[in-house]
Amino acid sequence: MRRTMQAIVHSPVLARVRYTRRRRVVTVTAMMASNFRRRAIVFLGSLKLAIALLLLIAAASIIGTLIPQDQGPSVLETASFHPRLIQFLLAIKAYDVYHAAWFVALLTALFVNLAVCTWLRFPPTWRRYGLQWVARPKSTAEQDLLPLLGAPNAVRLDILRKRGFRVSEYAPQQYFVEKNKFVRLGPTLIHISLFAIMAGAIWGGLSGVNASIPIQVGESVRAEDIVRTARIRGPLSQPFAPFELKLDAFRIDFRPTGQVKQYYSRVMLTAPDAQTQTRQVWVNEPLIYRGVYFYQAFWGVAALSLTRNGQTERLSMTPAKTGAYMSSPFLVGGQEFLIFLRSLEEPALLVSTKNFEAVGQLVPGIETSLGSDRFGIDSYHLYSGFQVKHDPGIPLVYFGCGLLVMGLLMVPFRHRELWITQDGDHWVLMGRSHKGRVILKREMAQLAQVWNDHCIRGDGGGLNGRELAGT
Amino acid sequence: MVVNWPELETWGAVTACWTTGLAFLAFLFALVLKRGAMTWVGRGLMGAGLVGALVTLVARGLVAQHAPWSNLWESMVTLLFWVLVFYFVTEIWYRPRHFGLIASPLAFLTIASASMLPAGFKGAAPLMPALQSYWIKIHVVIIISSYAAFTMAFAAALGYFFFRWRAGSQALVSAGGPEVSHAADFNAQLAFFDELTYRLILLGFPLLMVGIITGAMWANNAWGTYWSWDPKETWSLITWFVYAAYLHARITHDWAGDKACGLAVLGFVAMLITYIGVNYLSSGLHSYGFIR
Repeated sequence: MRRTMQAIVHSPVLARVRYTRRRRVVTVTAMMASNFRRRAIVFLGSLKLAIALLLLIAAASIIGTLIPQDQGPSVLETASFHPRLIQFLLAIKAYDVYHAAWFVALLTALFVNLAVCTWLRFPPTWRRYGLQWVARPKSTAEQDLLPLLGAPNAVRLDILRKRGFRVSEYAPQQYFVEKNKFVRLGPTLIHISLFAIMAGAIWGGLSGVNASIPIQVGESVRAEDIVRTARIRGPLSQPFAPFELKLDAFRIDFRPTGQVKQYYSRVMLTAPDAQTQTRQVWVNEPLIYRGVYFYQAFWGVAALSLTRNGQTERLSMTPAKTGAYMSSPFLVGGQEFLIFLRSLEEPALLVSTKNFEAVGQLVPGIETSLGSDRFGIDSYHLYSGFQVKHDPGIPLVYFGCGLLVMGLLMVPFRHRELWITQDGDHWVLMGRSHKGRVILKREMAQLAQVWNDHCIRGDGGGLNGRELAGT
Repeated sequence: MVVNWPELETWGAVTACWTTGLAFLAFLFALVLKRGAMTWVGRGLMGAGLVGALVTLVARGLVAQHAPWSNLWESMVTLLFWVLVFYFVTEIWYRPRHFGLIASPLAFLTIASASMLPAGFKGAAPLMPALQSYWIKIHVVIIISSYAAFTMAFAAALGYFFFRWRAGSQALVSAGGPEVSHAADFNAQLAFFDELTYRLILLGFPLLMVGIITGAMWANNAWGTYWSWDPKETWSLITWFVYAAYLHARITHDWAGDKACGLAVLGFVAMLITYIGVNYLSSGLHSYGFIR
């Protein structure tokens, strides 16, 4: 509480609140209003709100991991839950939690909390960072106190300096000793970086484009069509610079065991004001063109070529359940058939549309005869699916991540503040640390021991190397 | 001399399993029979377990020709490795009492449950297309090291509750007796384990955060989006939120002790769901270690 009050006293907003209060004719209501405003700001930036929001968002996020998020409300309507529960889940948009208004409101609240907290706490933090020394605290309640057997002198203060402490005599016979002051800036850095990441995510959502584009081998797609059919198109998004993307070839590499090794798409990108480039795209290796990323995302069978009595015709394939494909029906000998393909590694099935029974198997390149007709599958026409993405928020997100890592590197370090001072006629070592009192106590005991050993042996004895290095 | 790597891999895992299990017994003897020497036997066995885990990882890496943390079993051996590393860091740095007694069963459970996985999750297999990236070397190992740090933080929290429980029963036994020094000792141990939990979370939290960041960068490279709310991502965020709440709560002094250690246990539960539980929940993009 004390710390919060300190932060409030030094914060610019409350200085302004106090200032306006003094200038105005202070009525009771105005005082209440400003009091309320102050209380509201304190609450918005408070640690309690932060903890509550963190745990609340954590709890809310669980819903989205239990209920499928990409299938719309139908997932709930057909679920075998209690009708009341279904009603409730539908009301809170449990089928799309992370985009529901209330969830976004919680995230926004965290964003505001983070901003207000940083705003309130940064000025005192920065001021403290600028200080070369801090006077010893009057109260000894929160400090640990150890007796020192002798007064400070150059050699004894070197015990501390050799261990990375900075020593300053801020008043006669009063020494301030500290180490790792920079750690104090860590939390602020982390908060600012989280701010940058969230801002980048919002900017990306507003001005980004995300599309799933299937392209058949030999065909191409233009920039404006990608943007037009995009799954996600932010309200502030700009149209892409014109280009045309052609799929030259698509190849799936298999391992000897039959597992997929990698998917490769060879694409050609032409633009009116740039050189034509041919590139291979595979999973983990996107093509990047002017901030637009093309990812190898999915693939499928678009059509097959059927040879019949020496002539080739093209049958389109539509996806059936669980990754299988069905061709459009065709007539052979007065009977209607279709081709059912479960996977490229297996023979296709010839299915009669009358009773949907398989009447034979087909392997590409091998013809069969039915009545007077000879027919077979010549080849399959694959399509390669690209995820096309343009996200202008990413540089800001990555910048935030970089800052975050810098802030995180500071986290394991501890800032220690020690005082060597007189308590009555004894010399004492006092200390405090914001992270871990037990460890500090132990460290202080070690320091005091080396110090006192030196005192016992007398000033002439000095210190040996092992003592300096510490244990 | 030709080294039979697959055999060495098996031997390493078996050694790690036995030594960590026996280490627990040694630490137990040390406590019950009050034999300080048994603690050193336990530490030695834990050291052997560390060597076993390391041998297993090296052998698997050479057999599979990729980073040895690509399926569930491999990741659990990696977890064991990091758990033992952080155990020794804690032992050397902070010298907690009876820490091995809590850490060794956790290490043993890690490797024992790994060895009980169905064969399909254990064998060396080539990587699927989405995993063929240098990011797997960075992201997975960082995330697992954060899991290990949280596991040790959980062990420290258990240590706290252990001493609390002992303090409670001791107080009953010595009711009315002048056991002041004993009580002071217990209080010191409580404060120590509370702070040890905090220190270990201070280690795990940045690791988890860097793990999530590298994961986001990999996702941006492979799936075209740095965040897609898939169950594993979401649970890692939930874990992150819980530990962030812990760190913020720890700043206010009244959250030390019971409440703080309770939150550390909650964080560990969230971490377990992120690591293992999500595989049962629903399918997502992270469906590599899937349990069908």
